[in-house]
Amino acid sequence: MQSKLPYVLVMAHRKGGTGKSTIACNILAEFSKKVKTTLIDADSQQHTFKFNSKRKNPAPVANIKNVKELVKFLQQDDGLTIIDLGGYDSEFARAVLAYSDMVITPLSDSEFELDGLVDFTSVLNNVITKSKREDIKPFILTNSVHFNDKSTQKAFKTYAKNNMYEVFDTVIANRKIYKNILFKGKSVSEIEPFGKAAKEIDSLIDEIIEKA
Amino acid sequence: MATDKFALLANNIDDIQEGAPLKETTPIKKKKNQMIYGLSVELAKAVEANGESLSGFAKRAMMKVAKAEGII
Repeated sequence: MQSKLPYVLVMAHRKGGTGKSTIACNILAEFSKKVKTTLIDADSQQHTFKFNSKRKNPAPVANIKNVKELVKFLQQDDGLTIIDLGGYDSEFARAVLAYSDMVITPLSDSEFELDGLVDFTSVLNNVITKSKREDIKPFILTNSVHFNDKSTQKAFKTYAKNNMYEVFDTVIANRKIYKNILFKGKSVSEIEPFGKAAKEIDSLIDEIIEKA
Repeated sequence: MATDKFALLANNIDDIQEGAPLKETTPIKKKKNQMIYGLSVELAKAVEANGESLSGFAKRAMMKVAKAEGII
């Protein structure tokens, strides 16, 4: 990852509750051990910020309120920036997408999330076209599905072929441990280093580094 | 970095943001002390400058006069 810095990684989806913050917390915890990582929590619920605050060694946080501050910060930063973008479409959200290098959209087999993805794809497409930033890498992350479910990721790969996305090979299963990290301020890998969830997050980190 | 995104986006961020339902707004700073004892700040200052009290009977009497004179 070091050779690809500075790098802006954005967790985004139009709908709330898709797992943006859960994934953001876990990758923030792991990346901050490897490279200089800064958190921007642009979600009004501030869950990633709260998670980070509970950590023994919290990652630096950039308190960004508008596009001007965002640009100023990114121009000076030389590390990895993880942005947890709330489930809304706004002028600020579009600017964040325009300045991103990789956009990760967690997605389960919920019809509500799939419907939200169609709207989000339209916005992201618009941002990429207008910004002329064809180098932005949009990824779908199969999230919160049954551990034995193979068909959902297959369906996402079919959708991705006809759109601009790639789909991560990693699948994040619906596991209880993901729901219990906020108050502990620990990633799943820190709670159960040899657990299945830890393996999933390790695999996702490896893929992000490889595909960045 | 494959492209210099800062140079690329420097002049077209407004275009990218166009059509977003939630606008980026600057909070409006509320003016404080717009009223003093129910009088506008301007009138209250003028009254005080003449050595008059702003409270109680004096205020009510003054309001009555001000209304009668068509000042307020």
